Amino acid sequence: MGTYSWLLPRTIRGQMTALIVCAIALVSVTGDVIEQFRDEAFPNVVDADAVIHKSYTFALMLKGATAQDRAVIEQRGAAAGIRVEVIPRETWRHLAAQAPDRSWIVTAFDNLFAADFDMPDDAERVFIDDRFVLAFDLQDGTVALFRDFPRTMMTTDFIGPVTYYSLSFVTLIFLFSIFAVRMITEPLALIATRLRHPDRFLQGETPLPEHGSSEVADLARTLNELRLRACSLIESRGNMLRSVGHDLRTPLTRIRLRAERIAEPDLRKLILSDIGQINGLIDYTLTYLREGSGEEAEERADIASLARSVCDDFTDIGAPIVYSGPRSRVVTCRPNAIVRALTNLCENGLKFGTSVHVGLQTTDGGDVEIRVEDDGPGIPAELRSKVLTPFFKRDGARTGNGLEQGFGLGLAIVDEIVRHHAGRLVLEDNVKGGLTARIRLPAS
Amino acid sequence: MVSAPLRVGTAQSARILIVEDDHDIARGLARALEENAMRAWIAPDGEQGLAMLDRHPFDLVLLDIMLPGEDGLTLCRRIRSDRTVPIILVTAIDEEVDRILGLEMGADDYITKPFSTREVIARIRSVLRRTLQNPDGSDRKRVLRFNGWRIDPIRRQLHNPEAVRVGTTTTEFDLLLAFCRNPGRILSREELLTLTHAGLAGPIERSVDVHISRLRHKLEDNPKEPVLIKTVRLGGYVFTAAVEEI
Repeated sequence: MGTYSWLLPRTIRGQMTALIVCAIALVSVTGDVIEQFRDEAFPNVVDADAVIHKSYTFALMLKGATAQDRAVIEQRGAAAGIRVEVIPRETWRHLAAQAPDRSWIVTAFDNLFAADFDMPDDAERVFIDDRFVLAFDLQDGTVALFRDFPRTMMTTDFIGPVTYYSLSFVTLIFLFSIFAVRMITEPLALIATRLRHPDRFLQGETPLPEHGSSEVADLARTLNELRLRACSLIESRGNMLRSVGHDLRTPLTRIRLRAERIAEPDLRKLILSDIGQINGLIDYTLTYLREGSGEEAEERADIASLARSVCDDFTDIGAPIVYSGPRSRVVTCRPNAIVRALTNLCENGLKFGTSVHVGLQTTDGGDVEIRVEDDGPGIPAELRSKVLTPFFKRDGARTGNGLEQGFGLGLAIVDEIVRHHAGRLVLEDNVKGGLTARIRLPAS
Repeated sequence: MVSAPLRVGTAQSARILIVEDDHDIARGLARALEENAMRAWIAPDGEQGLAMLDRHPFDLVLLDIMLPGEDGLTLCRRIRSDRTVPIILVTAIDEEVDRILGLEMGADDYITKPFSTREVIARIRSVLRRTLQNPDGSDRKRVLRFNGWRIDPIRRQLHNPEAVRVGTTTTEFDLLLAFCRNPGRILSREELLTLTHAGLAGPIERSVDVHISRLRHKLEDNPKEPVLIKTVRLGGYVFTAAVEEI
């Protein structure tokens, strides 16, 4: 590149134009060179036009000649390397009728690289015994047959255009595909791949590479700026909420220590329960923010043992949760976050149902799928996407059973964690009429 | 205020230093401690805290992380540099990284605001008891290794010889840690219970067996014929692997 790099067009349009100009120049220069080279290196390549022309001339000579002259002409022709047969027209008709169909490839070549020389009206070209035969009607009941028409496709009609056609085709296709792949497809595919997991893109360390054509580089640069802006917004909002959460805890401690001294037991209980609720909200909010920032590092972990342990931990405190699945399944993930997600789902299941089942399996594609099924009332289809948004609270079935009202963050945290793993969280009905939360984590 | 040497470890008249800048909280804590037969002193910042540590022997320090001037973590490290007095960090932040950082700075335990007085008293007693059992206390935070497995007491993580994180329940982890700290020693079910606070659900004796069985499934090549955690007839269990500190 160096000093002259400014000469190279930067936009896709400019690059395409330059490419076409280059291809044309390349074709005309190398085409000439190749043609010269062919004439010098292969002077014996047959010129189909010349053969037709020669045969026709010969046929014209035969046409007006007497039988005696014809014998002389045939003899002289044979000496000069042109073989001619004169046969009755009936025999020729018979031969021509019996000629097999030409294969499509021969037809295709014949049409693509037709001889420039126009066939005379009383001449016929028939494909017999794997080669063309030229027949000229001598108008006296006989036909002159020329069987020496070149057998191969290596005629000038073929080689000339083919060198040019194929050269320009190949050059253009080759240059264009290289250009398309290197300058457009690759950078765009890279951008698309990175954006497929927006959370990873936003929180990952690496911005998009800003090279390629100027349009693509512009796109990457804009997305990078957007990413920085989004990151700083998320971060500052997060920091603000975080410090509000932390700062609330000090006065909450004071209130709690004082509340513990309230003599009246009922009032004390109420206030302590309120404090517990406020602190729960702070806890959940901070957890949600933490999962959003994804500070836990990824590592290889036995996700089956993590899931089983979550279930066993519940069983140990008297809430039997059954696990079914393999004993071991190693994936790369954030283990603490996965444990948190499964714990939230199990808590949720127990809050609305009486029994929970956790199942883990590997899908055909190698993904890991974890299902947490409860026997509660389920979630109506129209609310399923809403319950994943933070602080969404429903009135009705799932909150009306007298248990502690949630903060609308449990499932949002799970969703956040799963999305951080480039996975998917799906809520659906199950046969028990309850809710199944299905987490799918990609294999890689 | 000169007093006779304390029977360290019993909560009885244990001397607690509270380093806390919030006056109300410090007073509330002090009052709660005194109601639980402990004696409390209050320092509003790190400098005064250090000065008091120089003047009096304390059995435990309750140290707030957010202090004016020098923060609690730095103070924690300074105290730990030349003293073995147990430290419980008090913080409004309960994020994993902060907890780990605090423990790595030498703290013995960690309490999150807003705490109940009952929780604080329980933690203090537990730390004092631990200190009595293991006065050195420094080895409690080391990562331990056996048969290629790694167990990290601070992060509460278990990794197998292929460096794959393996999940455990709270009790399984506590049991394994107890085994790793007592390799080759026969531990009775009762001892294991006190070491791990397991057995909250179900018939207590059986419960330990259940946890052990689960642990064996995670650790042993053949859980039916265990070699790592062996059953001792009428005795309890013994951990056979060689354990080293990392």
